[in-house]
This record gives sequence, C-alpha cells and structure tokens, in this order.
Amino acid sequence: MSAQALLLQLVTGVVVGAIWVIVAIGLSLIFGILRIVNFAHGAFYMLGAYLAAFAVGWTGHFWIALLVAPLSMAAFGVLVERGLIGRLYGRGLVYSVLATYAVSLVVIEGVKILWGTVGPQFRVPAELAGMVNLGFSLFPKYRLFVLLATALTVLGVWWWLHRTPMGLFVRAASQDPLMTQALGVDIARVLAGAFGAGVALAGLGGALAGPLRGVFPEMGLDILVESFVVVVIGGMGSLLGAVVAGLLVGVVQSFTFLWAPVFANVVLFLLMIATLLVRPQGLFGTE
Amino acid sequence: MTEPVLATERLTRRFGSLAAVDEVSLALRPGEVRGIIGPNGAGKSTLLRLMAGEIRPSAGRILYRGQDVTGRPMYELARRGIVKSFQITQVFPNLSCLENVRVVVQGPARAWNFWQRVDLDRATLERAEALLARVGLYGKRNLPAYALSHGEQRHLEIAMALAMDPEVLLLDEPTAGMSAEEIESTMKLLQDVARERTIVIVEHKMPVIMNLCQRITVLHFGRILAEGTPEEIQASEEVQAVYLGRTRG
Amino acid sequence: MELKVPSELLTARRPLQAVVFPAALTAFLVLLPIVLPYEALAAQILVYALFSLGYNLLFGYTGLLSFGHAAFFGLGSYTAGLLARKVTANVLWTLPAAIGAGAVAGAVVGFFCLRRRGDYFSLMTLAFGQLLYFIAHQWREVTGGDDGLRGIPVAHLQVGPWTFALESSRDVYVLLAVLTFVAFLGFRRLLSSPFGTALQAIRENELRAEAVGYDTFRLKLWAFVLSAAMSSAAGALNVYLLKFVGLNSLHWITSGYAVLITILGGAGTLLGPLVGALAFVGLQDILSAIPAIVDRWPFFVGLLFIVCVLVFPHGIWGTAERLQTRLRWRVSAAGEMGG
Repeated sequence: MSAQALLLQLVTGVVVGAIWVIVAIGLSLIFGILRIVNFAHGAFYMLGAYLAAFAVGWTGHFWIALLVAPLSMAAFGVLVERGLIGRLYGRGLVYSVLATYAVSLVVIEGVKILWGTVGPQFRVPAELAGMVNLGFSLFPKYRLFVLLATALTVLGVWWWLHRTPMGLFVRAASQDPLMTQALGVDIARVLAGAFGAGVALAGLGGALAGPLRGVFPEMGLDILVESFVVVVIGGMGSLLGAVVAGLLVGVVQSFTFLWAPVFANVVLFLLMIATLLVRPQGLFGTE
Repeated sequence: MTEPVLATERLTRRFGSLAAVDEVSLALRPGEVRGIIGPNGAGKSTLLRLMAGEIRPSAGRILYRGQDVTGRPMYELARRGIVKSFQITQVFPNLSCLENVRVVVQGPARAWNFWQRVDLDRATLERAEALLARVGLYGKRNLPAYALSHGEQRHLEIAMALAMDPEVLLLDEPTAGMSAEEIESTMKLLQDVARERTIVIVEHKMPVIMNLCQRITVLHFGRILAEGTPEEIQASEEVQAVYLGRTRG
Repeated sequence: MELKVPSELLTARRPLQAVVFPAALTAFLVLLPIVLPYEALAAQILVYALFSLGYNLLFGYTGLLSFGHAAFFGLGSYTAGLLARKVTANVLWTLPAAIGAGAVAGAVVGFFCLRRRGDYFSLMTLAFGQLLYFIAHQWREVTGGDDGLRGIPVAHLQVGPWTFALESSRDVYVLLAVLTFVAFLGFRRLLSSPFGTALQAIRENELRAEAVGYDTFRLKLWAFVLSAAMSSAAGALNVYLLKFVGLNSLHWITSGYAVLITILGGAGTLLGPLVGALAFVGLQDILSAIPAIVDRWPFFVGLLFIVCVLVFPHGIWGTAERLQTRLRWRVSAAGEMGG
C-alpha cells in the first residue's frame, strides 16, 4: 500500500475522530462536573444537526447555523437541567441515567412527530465544497474545516475552563461542590451552565457532522455509545483525554476499515476493554 | 512469652512519596487489648486497614498465628478471624437490625446456598437475637438500621463484628461522635468483649484508651514512637511532647 | 429513605403467605389473558416480566446498574432462533441452550465489568452490549444483519412420543405462565436464602459485606450470571412468541426498557417486574392503538418516565409496599400503646 493512501486514511481517521472529540468533551464535561452519565447526549447531537439544517434553510448561511445550533442547544440544556436533572442531585446514578434516557426518547420521538422520520437536507456549504490539494492527495475541503473547527472548539473550551472566572468556578465545583458553595458561589447556576455548555458541544458536533453523515432522528444513537467509549478510554472528566482518545480511536477505526472492514464497528469496544484492563482509569484519568 | 496471635513485621504503606505507615513492627499476645494512639495523620487508621487486609502494604509482612497473611483479601482475613469495624459507621441501612446481624451469623461460607430460607432458621435467628441483646439492641431488632441513633449504629456494628466470632477485633475509633452516655455504655461493652478476644483500638479519647488497654503503641509520622503500659506511656516525656501535650492543650 | 418490611412481621404472617402468594400469582396468570383483549399481549407482558425479573436481581437486589442486558436478551433470542432453524425447534433443547449461552456470556461480561464500580461498570456493560450488537449486525450470513432472523419454525415441546406444537399465542402463553410461576416462586425463595441475603447486603454496603467475610466479587459475578441467564431465557421465549428475532433486541434501547420496567414496577421488590411489565406493555399497546400516535409511543413512555422519576421514584409496587409497611408500623405502634 502506498504511503499516500496511508496518509489519506490517517487524515480521514483524524476527521472522524474530530467529531467524537467534540461530542465526547461535552459528555466528559457533564460527567466531570455533574457526575451524570448523560444518555441524552446523542439526542442533543441530533437536535443540534436539525437546528443547523433549518437555520441554513432559513438564512442560507452555514456560519449563522454554526452559531445558532450550539447557542440554542445551550439554552435547551439549561432548561433541561433546571427542569429535570437539577431536581435529581443526590438521588444517585440511577435516576439521572433514567431521566436522561427518558429525555433521549422524548427528544428523538418528538423530532419524528414534528418533522417526520426523514431528516432535512443539509448540504456542504458552497464556500467549503470541493477539494483541496494536501500534497499527497486531494481531500474534501469541508472535512478539513471540521478539523479546524474542532481544534478551535477544544482551545475555546480549554480557555473557558482555565482562563475565565466561570471556568474556575466550574473546575472548583467539580472538585468539591460544598466547599465551592461555602465560598459564595451559586453552585446551581454553575451546574446549569456546565450542563448547558456540554449540551452546546453536542449540538455543535451534530451541526458539523450533519453535512457529512446526513441528518435523521436516529443519528445520535450510535455516536452516544461511541463517545462513551472515547470518554472511558481517555479518562472520565479529562479534556485532554477526550481529545487524544477521540483522535486515536478515529484513526484506529479508519485503518480497520481499510484492512479488516468487518471489525470496523467492533474495534472501538475492543480498544475500550483493553484500556480498562491495562489502565482502568483511562489514559488521562486519575484514580 | 506466648506466641503472638497477630504480628506485623516492618509493615510499610506508602501513598506516593509519603510513608503513611513506616516499618511498623507489632506483636499482639492472645487476649491482649492494644491501644494505638498518635496525632492526626500519624498513620493509625492506615495501620488498622493494613492489618484487616482492606489495603495492601507496600512492604513488610503480616503474620496471623504464625502464618503469613500479607496481601490476603479482607473477606478472607475476616473469615479466618481478623475482623474490623470502621471509623465511619458501616451498617446495612435498609435492613433491619436483626437482618444486619443475621447476614453475618448465617455465615459467608453459606453464601452459595441458593435455596434455604434463612429467615426461618431458628438457630441463626436465636444467635442473632442473643447478640443484639448483648449490645442492648434487642428491643429495636425490627427497626431498619438507618433509624438508629449514631451510638446505637456503632453498637450494631460491634454486634456484627462479634457475630463473626473473631479472634482479633480491630476497632477504628469505636466511640467517635458519641455522647458521654453512649461512650460509657460502649466502654462497658468493650470491657466485656475484651475478656475473650484480642482487640486493637485506635482512639482519640484518652480515658477510653487508658481504661481499656493493657498496652499502648504511639505512632508518630507513621513510625512507632513508644510502646508500653498506660502508665509508662503517660509518664513518657517524649510522648507528652508530641501527643498528649497537644491534645490536652 | 427506604422502608423495609421488618423480618418478624414477615415471620408472623408466614403460614398465610405461603399459600396466599402462589394462589394470587396463579389467579393473576389465569386471569391475565382473559381480561386483556388478546393473548399475544398477555404473553408479551410475561416475556418482559421475566426479562426484568432477571434484571431486577442484579439491579434491584445487588445494586448494580447494568446498561447492557439487551445483550443477554438478544443472545437468548438468537440462540433459540438459530437452533430452531438449523437443528431442532424443541423447547426442551432450545430453552436450556439459550439459558446456557446467557450464563456463559454473563460470566465473561461480568468478569470484566465487575472489575469496575459505579458509572464505569454501567458504561462497560453498555459497551459489551453494543459489541454484541455490532457483531450481530456484521455477521449477516448467520444473524441476517439488519433484516433480523426470519423464517423461524414454530417451537414445539417434544417429550418422548408426545409433541405439542406452540402454534398460537395461547400455546406460548401457557408455557410462559408456567415458567413465570416457577420463576417468581424460585426467586422468592432465592431472595430469602443465604445467597439472596448476601446480595442485598452488598447492595446496602459492599465494603461492610466484605468486612464480614463475603467474597463480594464472586457473589456479584454469580448474581450477574443468574441475571444474564434469566434475561436470556426471556429472549428465547420471545422468539417462540414472535417467530422472529430483530436486530433491535440487542440494542441498548432495549437494555433501557429493562431498566424502565424495573423502576416503573419498583426496583428491589419481587413483584415489581411483573407490575412494571404489565404497565409498560399495556401502555405501549394502548398508545399504539391511538391513530395519532401509533409508532410514536416511546415519546409518551419517555414523558411518563420523566414524571415517574420526579414524583414517584419507587415505582408502582415499591410505593404500594412502602405504604403498606408504614401502615403496619402505625398499627403495631398503636397496639403497643394500647397494651
């Protein structure tokens, strides 16, 4: 196999991984701060893709859609947290899992009720259509854009967590909610904000993936489990872990597609099981 | 001198670069009541957790009746006769007091019995009830454990530990958070228990330790600072300097 | 906070209960297909009741939240379906085979997943479940992939020279009713056995259970195996009823149904799964009969569960049991005052 083909497969894998990175960061953020395994994350991803597709339809601008989707999903996330999730703190893992699972059913079926079982068209925007020459191969311009957008998102999230006052509260709350509260921080708002941010990331992931993978009600089901796997491999609650694991898994899967396509869907889970056996806390997780 | 029932040899446990327990060698004679004292962070609880098999040592050995039991899991040591009660109360909150004790009385060895009805087993029930009576909880046997007061929960824990019929009982701050009255009754109970078993007590309350223990080991920064009878320990200037002076002050 | 029935009160009621419980269960199983509009519905309820009964052992009684039980349900279905197509449709072979497959898979999955606790445990069970889902998805020659397993012959019971074909839903219901009766009585027994008590001790406080000498890993593994085997049996029974295995029976959404039914009925209660399955399948049937809803019933199921989680987290039977216990306490307190 030529070096060009291998390089192409590598870049393709990185782009697949990029979507996982964005979705998994949101999941990891929610888990790290709220201690909630968010089963509705895939549904939020799907809803983000729908909103972006509609926004493009109404305004004709992909860039507006890319803003509208995460922002409205953030608002939606805050609503869900205030109305439901926030009432379940301290009741244990089970109820939050069940609640988010129920939200997932409601959102997916709600979308089908409102807009039918076939999703809207979501084309690659004109300015990002076409190919670009990478030197070793031609590569779709939009995929490179996804990569760039992911990099910016990761930097943005890092900046938010480490360089803004809100981010500091969020990190403090993930360490010790009681202590943070004692310092005069309104913990309820921090938690709602963190949940909203996580949901916004899911929505952004959906909006970016829409033109690549198509928009339909079930589009979030598989990516939910895949991003769980990414978070487990990277280490729950670790930003760096989600990034590294997302890209790694993307690349591994991409090469499996090339050499042993039968295993392409399965390799993800084998990677996770291997990680848990060798390093149970994940690549960048703490014990 | 008689063969020690439980002994540690240069037992060490490190957390990162910190040696929480540092080369501690202890020998407990059968029937002895040993107190372990020391300032906060001296490694008392860690030592007890090591002896119970709750955590594994980084180095050193634990000998039980002359046999090396280092690194054996907690449930195995518990079955062989080393039983621990915890610093933070650990009961089965939603089971009744009787059920709490019954789970122990029926015995983990029988856990693979999928068929017998233990709730109808007369011998098991009678023994469980007798144990509850001994710790003064017979009247509350049908209340769920969460409904007990803190002191009562600790008594329930002692009943559960006794149900194991342990040779060595490891008690991590048995009177923590108790009222004066509860401490009084707990001490009576422990004195009674001490007649038939070897006990190791980690405790902050000096009167409890001084009353109950024949020998006292003082830990400081994970190491043994002194060991002796209560009188010797009270008289030791070294101990006064690092420990007694501070807590009394 | 939870309230448990005090053991002495249970003991006092024992002679009556020994008769009342089996009699009531029999009456329920006889009446169910008569009251409901069609037998397939009653049969579906029992399939889900058995699935959740197995699930409840792990979740309700041992305190382990598995999100991969569809794997065992689906495995039982595929085992029974494939055997019926290739070897024999005799229930006396296919059912034990499905149970065996579930037990073995449960032992393997449990061995890995139980190395971790809490959230990680749940995620690992989810991952193993999806692993099986994708294997079935890819292995089209055997499983039929997306199309599912079709053309499964009618199951039959063959004992010596006698053969009973499980032709209609009523035939399958009779088999299901008998197995449900046996399973619920067996579980009732299991829960008061030393093993069952040990599992509940682990649910209540695992560290403490270990400190009093229980090998908690092995006990949890056994609970996992039993639970998987039971779910697998339910999967096989579902095939006798539907004569079809859908790929979706392996999907994590199906795992979610087991959690939903168990919580709806009341986790950690013996009859919770039966009550939950009745409510869940019944609701699904009613909703899909409404022309405006039909396939969109999960929307309303989701809404119901949001309400359920918020206002009565102990489920239908769980809430009823708690009310009963509270009442009994009040009565006994009043009695003591009077005496």
